[in-house]
Amino acid sequence: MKKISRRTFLKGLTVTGAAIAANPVFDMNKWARAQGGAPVKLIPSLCNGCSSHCGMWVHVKGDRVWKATGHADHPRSRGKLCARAHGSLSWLYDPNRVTVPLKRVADSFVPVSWEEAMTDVAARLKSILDTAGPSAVFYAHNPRQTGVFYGQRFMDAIGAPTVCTHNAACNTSLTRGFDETFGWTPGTDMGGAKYILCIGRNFGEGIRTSQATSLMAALARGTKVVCVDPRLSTTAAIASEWIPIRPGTDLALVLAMSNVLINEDLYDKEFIKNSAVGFEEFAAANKPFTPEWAAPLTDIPADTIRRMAREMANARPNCHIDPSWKGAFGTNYINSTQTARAVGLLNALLGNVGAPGGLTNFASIPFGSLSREKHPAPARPTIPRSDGVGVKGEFPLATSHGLPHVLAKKSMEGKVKAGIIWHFNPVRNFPDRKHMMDGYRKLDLLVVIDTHLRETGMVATHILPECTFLERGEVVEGYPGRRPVIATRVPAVPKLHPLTRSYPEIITDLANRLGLGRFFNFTLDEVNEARIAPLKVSLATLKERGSVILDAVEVPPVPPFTTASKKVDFFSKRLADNGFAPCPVWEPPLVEPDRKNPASFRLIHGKQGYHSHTATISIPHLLQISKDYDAERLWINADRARALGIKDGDTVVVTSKLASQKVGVKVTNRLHPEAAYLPAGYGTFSPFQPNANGYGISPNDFVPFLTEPLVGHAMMHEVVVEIRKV
Amino acid sequence: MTGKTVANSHRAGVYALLAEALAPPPQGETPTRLSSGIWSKELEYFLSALDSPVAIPPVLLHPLATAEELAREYLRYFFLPDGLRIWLVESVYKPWTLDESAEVPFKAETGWLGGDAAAHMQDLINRLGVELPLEVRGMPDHIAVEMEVMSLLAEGADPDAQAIFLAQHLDWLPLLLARCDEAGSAGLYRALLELTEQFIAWDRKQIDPAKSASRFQGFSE
Amino acid sequence: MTRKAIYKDTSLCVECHACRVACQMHNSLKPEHAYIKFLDVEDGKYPATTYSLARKSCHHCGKPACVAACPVKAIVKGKSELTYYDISKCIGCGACAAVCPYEVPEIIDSKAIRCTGCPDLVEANRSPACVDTCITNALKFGDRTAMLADAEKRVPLLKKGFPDAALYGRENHGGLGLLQVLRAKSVSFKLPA
Repeated sequence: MKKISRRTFLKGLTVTGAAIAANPVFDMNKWARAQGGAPVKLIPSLCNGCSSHCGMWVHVKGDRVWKATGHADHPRSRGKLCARAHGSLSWLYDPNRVTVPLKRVADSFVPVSWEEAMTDVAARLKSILDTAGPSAVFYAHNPRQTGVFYGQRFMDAIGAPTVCTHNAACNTSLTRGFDETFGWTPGTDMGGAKYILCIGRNFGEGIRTSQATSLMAALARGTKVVCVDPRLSTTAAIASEWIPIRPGTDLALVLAMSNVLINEDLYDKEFIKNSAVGFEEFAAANKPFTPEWAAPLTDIPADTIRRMAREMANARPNCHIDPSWKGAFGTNYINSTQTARAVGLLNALLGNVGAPGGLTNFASIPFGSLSREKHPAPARPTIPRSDGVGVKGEFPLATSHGLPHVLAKKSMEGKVKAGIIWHFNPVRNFPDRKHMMDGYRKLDLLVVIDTHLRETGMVATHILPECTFLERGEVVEGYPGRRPVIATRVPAVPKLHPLTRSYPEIITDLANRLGLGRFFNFTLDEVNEARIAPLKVSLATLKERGSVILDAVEVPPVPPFTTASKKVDFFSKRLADNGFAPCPVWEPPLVEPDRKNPASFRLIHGKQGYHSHTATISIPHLLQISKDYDAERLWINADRARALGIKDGDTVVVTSKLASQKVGVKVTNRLHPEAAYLPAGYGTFSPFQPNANGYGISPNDFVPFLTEPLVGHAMMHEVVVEIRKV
Repeated sequence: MTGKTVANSHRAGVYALLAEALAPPPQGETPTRLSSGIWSKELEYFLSALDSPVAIPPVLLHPLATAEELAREYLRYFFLPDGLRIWLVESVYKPWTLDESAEVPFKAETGWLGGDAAAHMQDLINRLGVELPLEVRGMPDHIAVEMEVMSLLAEGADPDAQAIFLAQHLDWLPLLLARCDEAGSAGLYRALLELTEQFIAWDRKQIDPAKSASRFQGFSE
Repeated sequence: MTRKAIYKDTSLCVECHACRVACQMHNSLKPEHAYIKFLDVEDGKYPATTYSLARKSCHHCGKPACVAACPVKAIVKGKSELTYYDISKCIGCGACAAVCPYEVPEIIDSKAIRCTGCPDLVEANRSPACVDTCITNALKFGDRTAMLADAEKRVPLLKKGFPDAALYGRENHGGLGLLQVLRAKSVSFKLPA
């Protein structure tokens, strides 16, 4: 046999074995002795365990992530970190990450080079833009500054207006309701409050760290905290009082509390006189909504409603109804937008806007922007959006956060052909799995940019691998306040997988390939330098400290309202013009459980403090908490369970028109009898997240594709299910 | 050339062939060399010259797979599996770090990339001034890299150094085979990995079994 | 060093499990090995339901039976008078579990699973990992006398809403180094009186 020439896999490896063995760190024990004493560096970052982006310090030893601690100067962490923050470090070293570009071929993915992936994506996108026009293209993400800047600019550059976020499954009713009332969505001053009313807001399980800290500090001080919720959440459990409510009737409660304030002359007349318009129309429309009227609807006794209203009136203006997130007036019910408006107006009746303990709204941070001469910005497109937002006859009053679930329908109708999605999983996190999968799968081009291959990736045409938050910088974020804060991420370690790229790198490359590079002729550092230039903080300082507290700003006693009237709109002309009630009046939920059927329930859902939707479920230390406490179980009220012969720990079948699935049961007195409650972080079905795949079930499999008429959100609690013992 | 160095170059040849076959993803001439039987003929030559009892299983001697099928198999088991994924990376099978000062969730866990094994391999590779191919750059402790380094050691390093490397880095093949069992199958690659495990076990005995005590002890003094 | 204590005000805890995970990070524990767990009591019929918590972890007894029982001195009483635990010395014999009045140690994979007392942090005048991360400040750490004073101030406030509210741990087993303000009767958590 002729001499076999050795094939080297390590090209360029010309060292000899003797040289390798002679290296001082060749023996791993010697290496460890040298490495053990290596210094630990602290690099500032922002957590990605949820979208609150708490400031964190990443401890790094020898290019490996070693630990995380909270950043004391960041307004959302204030030195603390929740369980998810520690867990999220796992993403970096997860061997299930996407590490190379993938392209769909028939029913499976094949790894391809960046060149092949990007050439293909650019060619298909160009062809769709040429044939179907920019209205056929959408972009969707979880909106944080990097995506807002690069994503929006890219969409402007290709002339496509349809930019979406997750908000239609989160809080668009809240945004629209408050915008129509004040012109903005407020924050709150928990520190100064004597009385805090949470309607659906669950600070202990829907965690933003500093809010949980503030609420508990208020409780410890003796502030009265009242939680209105169909479920005794962990927040309601430690509140001064839990007021259980029939799900979907929060609007009736708020209208009736307003009724008490008006009828008993307890509202802030001075504030209404100076700062409101349309109060007379509101008061007239509100007349029928007495506590006695609301009691049978809400299951809250009339006396309790009256007492709550009087207690708040006694505490005014140092009290507030929390503007909340999703629960009662985010995106769950057909009446959510009017509920949000009614909550805004009840706050206004208490005259608490700008008062200690009331609602707040701070001026946005005066960030700078890139020089227009050196870096021409593309014009904002003026063609209509493709998801019906702002379109007459569709959703004229929907928010600019868009409607990703409507896009699935538009895709099936052939009106939308291409999508780019960054770190967002609408296929799992919007209702109606089949609707979402079919719609997104039908797209001619679906580019998913993410660290992991989640459910939306499963129907993509291309997956572009992103580096994790620990390996990348970010566009500077800002947190308005009395002492505003700016913060950013600094790459804590070099990219583990060299073929992963950051979102700005990917978008800039794509723009270049489409001949739009002139709109992206800058680096991330240049974007950030321009952004913070007016704030008298250097980029070097910001990168060193991560979070920087700016000088105190002057805060007017009452923040200016930015409605059309420049006052609080008790009567909304815009709502009237579009055929909606100008003053909030009662609207029942869309569907009702069948009261004659003992197996019929409204399926509601919520968060748990140690998970962020389905994003964290595959992190072993967090998943184990669920396993230790059987936390994926469906909750059913004890009396209802008894009637159905269901015992704690039994397995039941949950059935809606869309699906029938098995799950364990928690039988409890912590829940309104009409509701069945499912924690919302489970039911992952991506085979590429093997730790969590198949653990628990998701409410989204039971809820049909729906659009709320006013803002088009997904109405995620508008579903009736039957529950039977297996 | 002494008998010893000839044998060493044959051992180096075996390790190099294993590195070639296990490198991600199968590309260049490799799939054709595997499917045509050229690769196994070369392997057979070295093994018989070494008088090694390790036998090439028939599935590798007369591969039924085409080059395309082989590439697809590799992807299916090691990259985008239908079921459980099989990792060809040392870190995944060992606690992430033995350094007590770490406070990360995966510190003492198996199942993660970038562990002590990777950090050591990376440091070594950096100091040798070598750049890893892109496909394994996040995984310097990939089996193909370790086979390649072992091949060089077999050719030119003293037996102590070879024993140390085998003990510290190439002790995880049984765990990899267990993962193959857990995953159900790894097709033709299962036979290849079994052969790799057998060869390492045999080779370890040839060098100096006493040195196998020099396994990785952790970071404490 | 004066006697130290962890003080948990259960009336401020939302069961976010940050303490559990921070502890697991600091002590390199597998997901299944949790030194901190929760006991809960649901009481009353809907809608008059209450839900109360207690922490299930080492109570750091003033007179710890486990320290005397441990044949290999894996559990010792530290300068802070917390009981320190060195898992590397543990032989998994279960002697500590047999004598613990609170049934805290679990023997998993031949090791006792129980709080270490974070001696490295405590001896350096820092808070244990669980206290440090607590997002609601339900956990505090300091001199036991100061923690007792804080806890005793909290009880009368809570009694207004929860008549059974009480401090647990002042006297039990030589006084505990884990002081808890509980909203429900201690017996309902099966904590011995």
